[in-house]
Amino acid sequence: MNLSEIKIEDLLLKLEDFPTLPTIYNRMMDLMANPRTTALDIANLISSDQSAATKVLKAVNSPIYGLYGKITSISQAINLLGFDEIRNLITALTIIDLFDKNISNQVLNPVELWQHSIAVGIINRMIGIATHANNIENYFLAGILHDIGKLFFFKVAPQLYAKVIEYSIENKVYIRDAEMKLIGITHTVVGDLLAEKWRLPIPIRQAIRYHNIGFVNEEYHPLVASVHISNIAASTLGYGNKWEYVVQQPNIEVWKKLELQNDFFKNNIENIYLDYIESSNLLLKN
Amino acid sequence: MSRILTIDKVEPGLILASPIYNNAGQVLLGADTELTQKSIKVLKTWNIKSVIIKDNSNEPNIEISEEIMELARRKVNERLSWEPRNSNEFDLYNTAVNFTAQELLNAQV
Repeated sequence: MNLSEIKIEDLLLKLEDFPTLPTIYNRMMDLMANPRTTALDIANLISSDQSAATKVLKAVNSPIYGLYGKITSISQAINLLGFDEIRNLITALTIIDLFDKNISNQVLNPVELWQHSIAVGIINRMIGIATHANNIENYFLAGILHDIGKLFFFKVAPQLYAKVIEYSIENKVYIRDAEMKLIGITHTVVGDLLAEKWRLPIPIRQAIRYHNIGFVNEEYHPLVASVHISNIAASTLGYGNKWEYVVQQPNIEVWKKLELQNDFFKNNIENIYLDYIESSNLLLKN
Repeated sequence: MSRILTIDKVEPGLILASPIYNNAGQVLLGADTELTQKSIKVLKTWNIKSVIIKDNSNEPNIEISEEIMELARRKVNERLSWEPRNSNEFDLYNTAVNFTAQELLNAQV
């Protein structure tokens, strides 16, 4: 394969052909957009899909939500966590399932990227709680999806993306610089386009697009700032891999705005460790 | 720290650090439960592969040698292209070193 023959236009065409999210997801979005929808309507829809229902129940009982096994039905989950939290959980479960985890090549294994993303989601949600963020339901999902553009590249051009990763490792440059050099477009931009196609909420799209910078056109967005830190923290703590080999230094301005407690990581490392084990078991094993 | 144990290493008297679920997401045993012969049998019936248990607090904390700390520091430095500048970054860096040292120690035991 001649790598120089892969054009950005071809990649963008592949984006158009890329799978949409399954019917249950779209029906749920429609239901939630309707103000007359009740928790029971949503519960009935989710319960109609046995595998989705089982996964949602497992997830809401996992430590991510701090409810520790108290939830026995979907409607109870909706009542305790709210529509938005359940919607975002199903979005995460749906998108993880959309990518085939069994396809890897000699350089890259998608499961490793999901492992990193789960750690980012967990840390991000903890930062959200610690900084008293609004819209806490977006924090886990934003962490899970921040690198979705890398999985898109890997799915449509696995050999090329393996080259990008190798280039980054050999030359000790950031992935985004390797992507610009070998592809001409970054995973953050492509990830945002994919998220747009899937009609994901704007804050999630911003987190995907701007997580390397931590600001949206110099404007402070707590979720984007938090994903910026969570992503670096996960890799620093050892939940990283060659999908992001060179770990950047956090943007100092982000720390100033985020105002995270000085001993946040020391105080939370044990929970990060435990939540990670349970969540990765839950989300990555069928 | 808590430890993860495969089911064949689990003994009665150990305390669970987090709940155990079956495949349907139902809780089999809650956190802080003391394991018994019977409950271990139940876990095996449910095909539970590993559990997270609390470290016995009566056991003295194993001192982490300077050798392991140095190895941990080197491993963390390999991942990063930068040095900590503010209290948040020192917190992150030191936590990463201690966490990595703990992992190295667990791998040795």
